[in-house]
Parts: sequence; C-alpha cells; structure tokens
Amino acid sequence: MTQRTTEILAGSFVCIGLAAVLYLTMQIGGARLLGSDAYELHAQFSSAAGVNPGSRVEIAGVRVGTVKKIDLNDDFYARVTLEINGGIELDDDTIASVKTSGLIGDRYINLMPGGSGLPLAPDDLILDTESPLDIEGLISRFAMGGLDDREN
Amino acid sequence: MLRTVGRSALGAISELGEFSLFSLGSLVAFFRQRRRFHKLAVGVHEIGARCLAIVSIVGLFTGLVLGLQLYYTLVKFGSEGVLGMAVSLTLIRELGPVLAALMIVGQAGSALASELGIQRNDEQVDALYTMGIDPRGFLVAPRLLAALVCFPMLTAIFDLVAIFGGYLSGSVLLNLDPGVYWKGVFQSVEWSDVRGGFIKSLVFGFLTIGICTYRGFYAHRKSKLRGVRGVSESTTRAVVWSSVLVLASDYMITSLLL
Amino acid sequence: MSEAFIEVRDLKKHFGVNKVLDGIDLDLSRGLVTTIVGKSGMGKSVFLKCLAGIVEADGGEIRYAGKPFTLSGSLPNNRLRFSYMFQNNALFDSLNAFENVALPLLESGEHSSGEVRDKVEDLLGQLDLADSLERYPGELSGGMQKRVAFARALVTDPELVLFDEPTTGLDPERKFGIFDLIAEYREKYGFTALLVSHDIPEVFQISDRVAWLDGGRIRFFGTAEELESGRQPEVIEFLNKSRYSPHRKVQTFGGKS
Repeated sequence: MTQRTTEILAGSFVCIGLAAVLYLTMQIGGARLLGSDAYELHAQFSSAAGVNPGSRVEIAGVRVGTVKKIDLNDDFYARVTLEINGGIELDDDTIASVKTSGLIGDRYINLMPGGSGLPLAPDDLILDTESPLDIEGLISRFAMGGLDDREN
Repeated sequence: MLRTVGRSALGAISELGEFSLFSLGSLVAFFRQRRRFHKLAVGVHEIGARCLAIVSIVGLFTGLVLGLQLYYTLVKFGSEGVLGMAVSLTLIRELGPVLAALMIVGQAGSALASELGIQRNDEQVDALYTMGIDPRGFLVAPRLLAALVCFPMLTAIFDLVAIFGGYLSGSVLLNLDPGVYWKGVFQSVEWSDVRGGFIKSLVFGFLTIGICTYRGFYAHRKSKLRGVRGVSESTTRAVVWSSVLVLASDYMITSLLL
Repeated sequence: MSEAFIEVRDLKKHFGVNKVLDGIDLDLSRGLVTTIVGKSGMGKSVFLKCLAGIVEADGGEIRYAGKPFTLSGSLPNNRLRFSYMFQNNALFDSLNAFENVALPLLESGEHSSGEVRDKVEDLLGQLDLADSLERYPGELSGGMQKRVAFARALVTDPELVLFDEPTTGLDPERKFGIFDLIAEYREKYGFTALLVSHDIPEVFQISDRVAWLDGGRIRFFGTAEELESGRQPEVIEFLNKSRYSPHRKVQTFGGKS
C-alpha cells in the first residue's frame, strides 16, 4: 500500500468518525457547542422528588428545555432552575407541574402556558406550581382509610 | 503465599511506573521527530480505518440483540415504550465504549503487539536507534496518538450503528412504534451521558494501545521465552491485559462519573 | 592515517554469571578495516553492540576520536556519524527498498526530499538495485536484501561502519560480492570499518587488521599475515577448525550471539 492510499484511507476514516462524533454529541446528546439563546426560569415545588438535573421540560408533550439544577430554598421548598430554549415565550400565569411519564416512568416538568399577556423575563419565578401526585401517599391513605372505616 | 502476593504487588507497581515512563517518553520523543503528520496518518489507518468494519458489524449485532432482549423484558411491565431510552443509554454509557475497545484490541492491538515484538526480535528497533531515530517516538507514539483520535470516533460509530440495530429489532422485526423508539433515543440521552462515554473511550484507547505497544516493544525483556514463542507470548499477554484493564477501568470510571 | 580513532579500554559485559566481555582493549585506526574473529558465542556481536550503544556495557571506556562516549543510552548518532549493518539486515517490512534506504536521511531532516531521492537512487543504482526501488524486502532475494541494508548503512556518509556478520546466509559467490563492496566503498568514501565475520580466510583479503576474541578478551591483534603465521597453539587450532568445519550458528532473541 502506498503512502498516498494510506493517507487517503486515514483521512476518510477521520471524516466518517468526526461526523459520527458530532451527530452523537449534537443531535442525540443535545449538546450545544456554540453559544445558545436559551434562558433560565425558576419554579418552587413542595416536592421535586424524582426530578434530576437533566430531566425534560415539556409543553404539550414537546420538549422545550431541561432542568439545570435543583436546590432547597429558605422555606424548605425545592427550587428548580429550568433552562428553556430560546424562542419560547411564556406568560407569567404559566403553571409548572412535576409529572410522571407512564405509571413508573421518569419524572419531568410540564409547563402549561397561560394567557395573561405579561411575559416572563429570564430569571423570573414561575408562581403557579403543582407538585407531583404522591402515589405512595395516596396508596397508604387509601389502605389506612379502609382500616379506619372497619374499626369505626 | 504472602511472599508471592508481596512480590507480585511490588512487580505490578514497578511495571506501572515503567509503563508510565514509556508512554510519556514516547510522546515527548514524537515531538522531536520529522514527518509527524505522515506517521500519525499511518497510525490512524491502522487503528481507525482497519477497525471500522469489525466495529460496525459488532455494533449492529449488539444493537439487534439488545433490542430483542430489552423488548421482551420491558413488555412484561407494559413499558416497551422506553426501549429507545434503555437501548441508547446502555450503549452510550457502557456497552459502546467497552465493546468497541475490546474489538479494537482484537483487531489492532494484537497486530501492534506482535508487529513490535517481531521488529524487536529482528533488531529493527536497534536499527532505528543506530540511525539516531528514537524507536519509541517512531514506533510507539504515533500509535498512541492515533488511538486517542480513533477510539472516540469508533465508539461513536459503534453507538450509532447499535442504536440503529435496536431500531431494527424493536420496530421493524417486533411491533414497537418507530416514533416511540426514536423519541426515547433523542429525548433521554443527555450530553453528560455522551461525555462519559467519550471519557471512557479516551482512557481505554490510551491504556490498551499503550499496553500493546509496551508489551511488544519490550517483548525481549518481558517474556522468559525467546524468539517466535516470546513474541506470541507477549502478544497474548498484551491482549489479555488490555481486555482485563478495559473492564476494570470501566468500573472505576463509572463509579467516579455517577 | 593510523591515529587511534576509536579506543576501547577494559570493556566489560556479563549476562548473569557468564562474563561475555572480560576487559576488552582495542584501538581502531582511522580508515582501516578491522575484523574481529572468534568462536561462536564469544561475544563478538555483543562487543559491536556495546560500541554502538545498543547494549549497555558494565564497565570500561570507549573513546571516539579522543572524546569519551558515555554508555547512558542517549542516542549515539548525535556524537558520531556511524552506522550499523545488522546480521539479519533489520530492514523494515512495511517500507520498500527506496524508503528503507531513504529513512535515515529523511528522519535527520538535513536534506530536502529531492536531494534524498537523487542520493538514494544513485546509490541503489550503483548496487544494481535500480529496478527494485519499489519492491518490499519480502520480495527481494537474500543477496538483494543485503545490498539494500548495505546501502542504508552507507547513505548517511558515515565515518564508522559496524558490520555484524555481513555475509551470513549467502552463497560463496555473493559473499565475495559483499566483501568486494565493502573494500570498494571504503576506497570511495574512506570510512573506518569494524567487521565481525566467520568467513575465514575469505574476510582476511579485505582486512587491514584482525583481532581474535576468545574468553572475553582480545587474544591477538595484528595483520592477517601475522595471525596466520603465528605460533600460538590456540590460534592455529582456531584457524584449522574455522577452515575445515562449517560452523553452526544459533539464532538468538535480542541478538546475544
């Protein structure tokens, strides 16, 4: 094999490999290597159990962003920072809720856009929130309640 | 018994030190050499282009079998909808880097170890030395650098082909909705998963190709056997150690990343 | 002409308990061909490798042109233009004949690629290899491989050439061919040569000096005529054995012959 053939084959491989790396990173991994126009919003929940940094943020089942970080505020509420894709404008009566995909699926944040006409600016706080349905709590209340009834 | 343990522990530590010096020394020597681009291209051809076929084939079958197994497991819980997520995360986080590395060791690592062993045996290494060419910079460093370039690329190709394989068995052979499969793939994989896979593939590339070149380069010192049998023994050792270290370091990196 | 170009003093090397070199003293004069003879396994090749810096000696001193040569494993070519022709040629299988010969020139970076091409083609042409530039070592006959290795050793214009059994595995006609080449190119380029050879008495024709290595020491040093007319019983016994019994050689790993 001549030097030239080797170099051409090596070059073609690098092109294919680079394309694969970029596709995996940008399309599947969803990383934005170039600067993005995403902005951040905050929301407070009484419980953010099951939500993790990286969890999806959806509107009507369409992904519009990711959860960036979760920390505890002074009133012991979970303060969730959402990264919302640029171009999505939300009003200040948007409702953020923690949902579960399927019965035992991943937790994600669902946004219900409002219609107040007063847009949320970056770094604003979403006031209306719904914490997740506490399935374990429901089950145990149902079971306990049944017991209570029988005793009475 | 204790003596044997102690001796092998000391041996392992001194071997580790020697290996580090060897690989770093090679890289330093490389940047004093000429025609670096050409040498790197030869290395990329050996480790990258020649492994493309085997990595793609193994990737396809891995994806096909993962799709089948996970589908039949998930369908019992009625959650076959997460097949795309399960397949893509398993591949990108674990199976892609590990299986691609093992395939490259089989294809390129063994060839490198035996080639260097034969070159040592035939005094070609000494010949480079007498010509004033650092043999490590000439024979070892281009392969190590090419490994750092090629391993992430081959891993990415493996991941993509295998995810496609999962689609074939899940949605074409079985009856999962393709949209559900691809939504799972695109929505569940995060940049941190992809990054973890790339970190693994870089570490695997350095370790495996490093060990294969090291074993081959010092075939005359590392093996008690001489001649052809020495080369074959050092090649076997190189492949075995590379494979074991891929799995061991995979566990360590995973526990650090999680 | 006969100033001491390379001085070796008390050079020692042992492998385990086996003292291969036990205090070698040898002076090589500039421009002369010196041949080391001796029984197999007496450390002739090891001695050559110590000179080249491939094998690290345990003790002693080597001086090239009056300057001490440290045996630390640093690349010796920075100090002296020398080249080494290996017993098995040590050609690179993945490079063709032209690339093999051009390699030391290209890697030194002292020549443009045009100069390298001219020089290598000229040298290979002189050695009747003009038609084989593109052929790989595996496609060349044993004699042609030797000539390629010879060209690779000479292409850098060395001051000193070390030949480790340059005629191994060649038929008598080709043996003379290689010896003629060494003599011819020594005239042409004026290098100093040190040979290790088993081909007694053929090699004496081109040797200005002969050294007999036995028991880890140089037991005789002088011209070939002096060796052959000498009266030492061991020398006579060695010469008789070399002439009449075809020696056997064992191929070893790492070149400890």
